[in-house]
Order: sequence, then structure tokens, then C-alpha cells
Amino acid sequence: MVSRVYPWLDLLLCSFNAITFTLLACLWLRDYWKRRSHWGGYLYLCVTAAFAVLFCSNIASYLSLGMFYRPVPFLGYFQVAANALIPPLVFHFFYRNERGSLSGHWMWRISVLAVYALGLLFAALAILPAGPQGDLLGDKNALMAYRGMMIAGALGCGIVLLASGRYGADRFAGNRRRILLLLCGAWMLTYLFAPKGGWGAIVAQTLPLCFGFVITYYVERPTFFDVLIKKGAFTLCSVIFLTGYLLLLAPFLLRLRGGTPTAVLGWALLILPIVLLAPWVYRVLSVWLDRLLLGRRFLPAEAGKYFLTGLQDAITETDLAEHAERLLSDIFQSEARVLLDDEASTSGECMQEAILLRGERIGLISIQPRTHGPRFLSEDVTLLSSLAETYSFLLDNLRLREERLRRERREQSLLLEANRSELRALRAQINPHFMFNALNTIAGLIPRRPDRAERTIEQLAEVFRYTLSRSEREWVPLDEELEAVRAYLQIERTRFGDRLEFTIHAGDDAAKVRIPAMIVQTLVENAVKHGVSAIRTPGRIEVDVETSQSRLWIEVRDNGPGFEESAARAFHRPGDGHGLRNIRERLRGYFGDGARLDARRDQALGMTVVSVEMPRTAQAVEAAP
Amino acid sequence: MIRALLVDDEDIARERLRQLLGSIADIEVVGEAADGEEAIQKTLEMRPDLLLLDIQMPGVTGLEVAACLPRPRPKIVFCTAFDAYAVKAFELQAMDYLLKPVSPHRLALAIDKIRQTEPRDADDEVDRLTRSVPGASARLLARCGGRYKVIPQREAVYFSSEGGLTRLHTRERGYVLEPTLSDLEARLDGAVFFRLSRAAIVNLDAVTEVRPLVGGTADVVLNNGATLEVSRRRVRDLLERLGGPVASSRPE
Repeated sequence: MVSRVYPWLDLLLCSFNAITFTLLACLWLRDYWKRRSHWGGYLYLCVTAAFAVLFCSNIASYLSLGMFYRPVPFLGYFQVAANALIPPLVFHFFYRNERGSLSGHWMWRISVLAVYALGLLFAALAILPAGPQGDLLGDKNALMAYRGMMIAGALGCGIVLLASGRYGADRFAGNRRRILLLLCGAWMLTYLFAPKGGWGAIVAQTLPLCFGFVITYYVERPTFFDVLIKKGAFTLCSVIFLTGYLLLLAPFLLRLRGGTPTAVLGWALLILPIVLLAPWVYRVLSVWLDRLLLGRRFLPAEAGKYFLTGLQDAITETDLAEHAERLLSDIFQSEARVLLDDEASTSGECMQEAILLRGERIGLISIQPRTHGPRFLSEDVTLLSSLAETYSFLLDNLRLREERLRRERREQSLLLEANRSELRALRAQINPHFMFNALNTIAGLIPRRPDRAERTIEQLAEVFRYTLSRSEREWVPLDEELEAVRAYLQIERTRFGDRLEFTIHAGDDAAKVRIPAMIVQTLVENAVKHGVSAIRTPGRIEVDVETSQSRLWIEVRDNGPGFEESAARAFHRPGDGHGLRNIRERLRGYFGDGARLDARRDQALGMTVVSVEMPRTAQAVEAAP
Repeated sequence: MIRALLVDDEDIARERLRQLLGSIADIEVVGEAADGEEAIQKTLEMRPDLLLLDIQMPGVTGLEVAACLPRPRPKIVFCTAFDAYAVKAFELQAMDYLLKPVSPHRLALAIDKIRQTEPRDADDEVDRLTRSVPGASARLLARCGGRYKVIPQREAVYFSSEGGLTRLHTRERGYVLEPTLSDLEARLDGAVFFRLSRAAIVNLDAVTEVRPLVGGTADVVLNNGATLEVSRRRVRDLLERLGGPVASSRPE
């Protein structure tokens, strides 16, 4: 019963081996050409290539015997050469790897040469009698030489491992040594005692695979998982599945006569489900492997999305780096660091990827090796590189945004600065017309009404003191400004006699609200200049301030002629409207669109109304210069 | 003895001037005016020798008062507190002026200077000054019966010359003006007013209709109902000034 399974198992293992070793060799070559890396050394390539040749030629010979009932010519030479080279190459590979921890170099070299010589001897014995035959071990001497070579190789490897073990090594290396020693033992025992054919062949087929697994695992882990676990599992599954599938269908297939259209169509239809299903199966299988075997939390696409979403709300570079570190640690299940320094580099076994900004290296993302759980695979490297690209894109974006913000802020502050200096200039030449008229009034009052002159001088001093002290601060309490306005209006009232009346009204809670300096003053001056002084009838000015929780309204009304007439008379007032424009610009500088200045004519009252509305948040800006 | 009229809208300012003039010999203050129209009225009534004229006043400004007054005018000393624009005009015309608060010394100097100026030269200076300040002559001084009135130029519909008198017609009524039509033509805004003939100047904004007549002349109908004749040489000009090609202005 068991013996009937052997050929199947043998064939299956053989084809699996052929695929695996061919893949490994190809992968090594690809890495060599693409990245100039030669992990495992050139001997690794030689060993895998030798195994690949061996198993591929075995499969080819199986197939040719099955289909054409005769061997492929010269295929035997490949089989002999591969068989003869494998034990010495493996021994050489082991020796090369452990050379650093071995003493007495010449002795080892001679042993390696001896095994190569044994291989040569076997090849000679297998080929010389009658050329390569169907069964290369048919000759008794050849079989002896074969077994001797195998045992010598296994023995040599075992001794190398034992000898190198004398020097202290870490757990990782210790594990590897123990496993390899075990395999070497199995190798030796197989060729010492196993029968030709039967279970011996099965073990002989399995051993290279085990060696390949172990060596690759310790030499280049990403490749190990990629090739031997993921692709290997897939290959194994497909081979098993296909075999079963075709076994089931064999009766039908045999009924179809080869070469007819029906036969071709039948084959095509039978293959179709496999072709269609294969990608899906591969995807499902790799997800399953990722989740269960490799402990990955995310698929690459999911990881990208997770990473991008997590970084979306970062507003500074530091934020971005911190978020990225957290997210990367989450994705890779290991400590991640983002180093923004073009000189940055990390030592050791970190997986790392450069951050490139418009082609220039500006930093590094490094992921510490996992302390628990599987190591990083080549897919992780690919994922990291795509995440690093995402990161640099976001960083670029962020820098551009910051640059824009900085520019806007600069412009804003320039505007404020300009307003401030404009205001300063305005103060420096504070309404000369007012000043000289006030002085003239005082001069007129002195001879007859000295007390009134004295009071006017005091009021004038108050107005000047206020305006001069304001050049130090932009923001003033409302009541201070209103006091100065009152003094100003009183002077004007003295000047105009009965022609001016005024009221100033402000709620109690408005007193301490801070406003940009000179706003009310400018409005009132405007009302005097263009309103009251332009009419012959008694003039009237009303100042009203109202507040709510969040806003402040200032209204200045005068019963002057309004805008139309004063615009018609603008010929002798080239500075008209300058005051209002100045206020409007300052308000925009402080509050943006949050403040308004309106000027209108209230026909019912017959008054010109200028009103300012601004946020009451001014207190919060108190600290502003 | 110099007879002076004080013009300022501020009582205290006039009071001070009066006080300062009191210390100057041979000056007599014959009156005061608190705005431009009153100033013109009193000037024409009292015929003073000297006007102390403030520039910034509600209604008619000091410069407008000067522009309105018919020649020969009294000699004028302008006062201003601060008016960079007017001051620049004074300096361009090399005219004397007083800055408030007025000092007694500067006042005495200005009056000395004005005493030595020929009345004709003083009038020429004022004319040059008022022409150099745009808008200063935007008003006209007109007589109606015994009273004088200041009328903005744009309210005039037309000016005519009848029997040696210059007349100003508004929509409501007619006035008599001092200057001749030729003087007026030089003073008026050329963009608004048009000389129809030797006998009439018209406000183009007041023209409602142009009726061509046999012989190449035309009649102009105005918005106050008056009809004036256009001299032959000026018909074409008039139609062009009213805008558009000649043909389209022909009434049906």
C-alpha cells in the first residue's frame, strides 16, 4: 500500500524542489543585478543552481520517459554533474560560512578538495562505462562512490559545525548550528543505511529542501519567507490541487482524440477555471499567510490607507513625524523612528528607507527589528518604501502650506505695520487746522475771559497728551478715548460758540473695553470738519457706544450737509475721506472681515451717521503691541 | 482813515481781530460778518477799504467771496488757521496772508504793505489768485432789486446782454450782474457754458431743443421756456458741443 504512494510522493517532491531551487537561484540573480547584493555569497548561488539543475533534469527525464518511452539524450550528463557537485559544494559552502571560527585552514582546504575529488571519481564511474544511462547508479562501483561522496560531504559539514561551535555564539547561531547538525546526521544516516528507492528516495528528496529552508532562513529571511513560505505554499497547493483535478478528469481527457478541435476546446475549457481562479486563490492564500503565519496587521493597501488617514490631521512637521512614528510602529509592530536629517543613518539590522523630497534625501525612516514575531520580509520593505513616499509627499504638502501661511502672516503684519506708521504720522501732525484754530480761540479769550482761556488750554493739553501717549500703544480703554473726545469737542464748542452742541453716551460696561486708538476721535473730527463747520445753523454731534457680549458698536452722528454737498465742495479739501479710509484699513488689519465701517445719511433725522462695528474680543488682543 | 470789515465765522476770532486792530492807528472797524454772503452784502453796502477775510467758512468761502466781488474791490487780507492748499496758492501768487493765531506784528506788517499797493494791482492779484484755485469762482454775485445774492454757476440757465446790462437768468427769475459777457465767458466753466452770440451765453445742460431756421441760423429752447437765437457761425459748434452728428440733432 505504502509503496504505491512512493512514486507519487517522489514526483511531487521532485517537482516542488525543482521549482523552489530554480526560484531561489533566479531571485539571487535578480537581487544581484538589481541591487548588487549577493547574500549568502556566490557559493549559495552555485548550490541552489546545482540543486535546480538536478531536480529539473530529473523532472525532464521523468516526463520524457513517460511520454516518449526513452530518455532525453545528454540529460544524464547534467544529472551526473549535478549529483557529483552537490556534496562538495555544500561542504565548501559550510566551510566558507564558518571559516572565521575555524583553526588550521590548510587542513580544511584539503578536506574540501578531497570531497571534490570524490565527486569527480563518482562522475567518472557513472559515465565512463557506457555513457550516462537511465539509472546512473546502476553500476555497483558508481553507487559505492556516490554513497561515499554523500557520507563524506555530510561528515565534513558535521565536523565543520561541531568545530565552529567551540567558540561562543548567540542563541540564533546556536539554534541554526543544532538544526544543521541534525540534518547532517540525517543526511549521513540516509546514505549509510537507506535502501535504494523506496523511503530512502523520499528522504533523499526531502533533505535538500530542508537544507535549503534552513540555510535560506538564516541567510536571507525576507527571501526565505517570500520564496519558501508564500510562493512555496502556493506552489505546493497548486501542484496538489492540479494533480487531483487532472486525476479526476483523466478519463474524459483520454477519450478525446488528440489534435481534433473538440479536444483542443475541451482542454481549454478545463484549464479555464484554473486560470480564472488562480489569482484569487493566490490573494486569499497570501492574506491568510500574512495574517496567521507572519502576524501582519495590515495588507499593504490597508496599511497605506491607515497611514494616510492617521497623518491627515498633523499640522506641524513635529506632529507629522510623531504621528508617522506611531502609525509605523502600529503597522510594522515594531519601534519606528523618523529622522529628519540628511546625514541620518542607523546601524544594525534596522529596516530603513530614505525620505526623498523632490529627489533630495532629507531624512530616514527606520524600523527596529522585531523582538518577538517574524522578521521583516521583502514585502515589508516594499511597503515601507511606499509609505516613505507617502510621508515625503505629505511633508512637502505641509511645508508648502506652512510657507503660504508664513507669507500671509508676514503680509498681514506688514499691513498692520503700515497702518501703525500711518497712524503715527497722523498723530504727529494731529489736525493742524484744529490746533491753530484752538490757539487762535485761546488768544481771543485771554483779554476778556481769562478763566475760559485757561480751561480751554487745559482741554487742549488733555487732547494732546492723549494723542501723544497713544503713539506708544495701539489699544486703549474706551473711556480714555471718550474723555479725549469730550475735551476735543469742548474746545470746538468754545470756538464755534452757540453753533455746536454735543452728547456722548456710552454704557457703563463699555468703559473698559479696549479699542484701537483714535477711532472715535477720527470719526468725531470728521463730523466737525465736514459736518458742523460747513453749516451756518447750530450744529449737533452725537456719539453713541453700545456693547453686547461679543460685539461693540460706535455711532457718530452729525447734522452737517452730508456727503453729496461736501463732495461737491471737495475742491478745498483734498484730504477728504482719508480719515475714514484709514479707519477702515486699520479695522481690516485687526479683525479682517469681522469689523465694519458704514457711512449713511439718515433722512428722517437729517443727520449723517457713521458707524463702526467690531468684535469685543479686543481685550484678548491687549498684549498686542 | 482805513475803513475795515472783519469776516470770520468764529465770534472769538473776530473779537481778537478787532482787539488787535484797535492798537493800529488810522484803522476803523466799520462792521463784522459771520459768513460769506453776509460779507458780500456788507461790502457792497458799506464800501469798506479793507477786508480781513477768513477762508474757512460755512457756505460761501473767503476765496469765493473775493471772486464774487465786482471790481473795484476793497483791498483784501486773507486769514487762515491751516489750509495747506490755499497757502500754496498764496505763495504762488506772492500774496500776503495772515496765519491764525494772528500776531499783532504780522498784522501791522500786512496792513502797511496793503496801504502801499495800488488798488488796481490789488484787484489783479485777487483775480489771479481766485482763478488759480479751482472752484473758487464757482459762484456768482447777482443783484435783484436792491439786494445781492450769491448764485452757484450751475444754477444759471443763460446770461444775456440787454441795453448795456448783463443779466443772469435762473429757472425762477432774472438778476443783474456787474461783469460784461466777455468777462463772464473767461470766468465760466467752458465745459458747461457756450457763447451763442454776441448777446448770450447759455448753460448747455439747460438746452432742451435746437430749431434750425431758414438762412442757417437756429433757435435754442431752454428749460425755463426762453428761446434764444444762435448766430450762424456758431450753429455747427453748438450742435457738436451738444453731442452727436449734426443731422441727428435736427428736430422733426
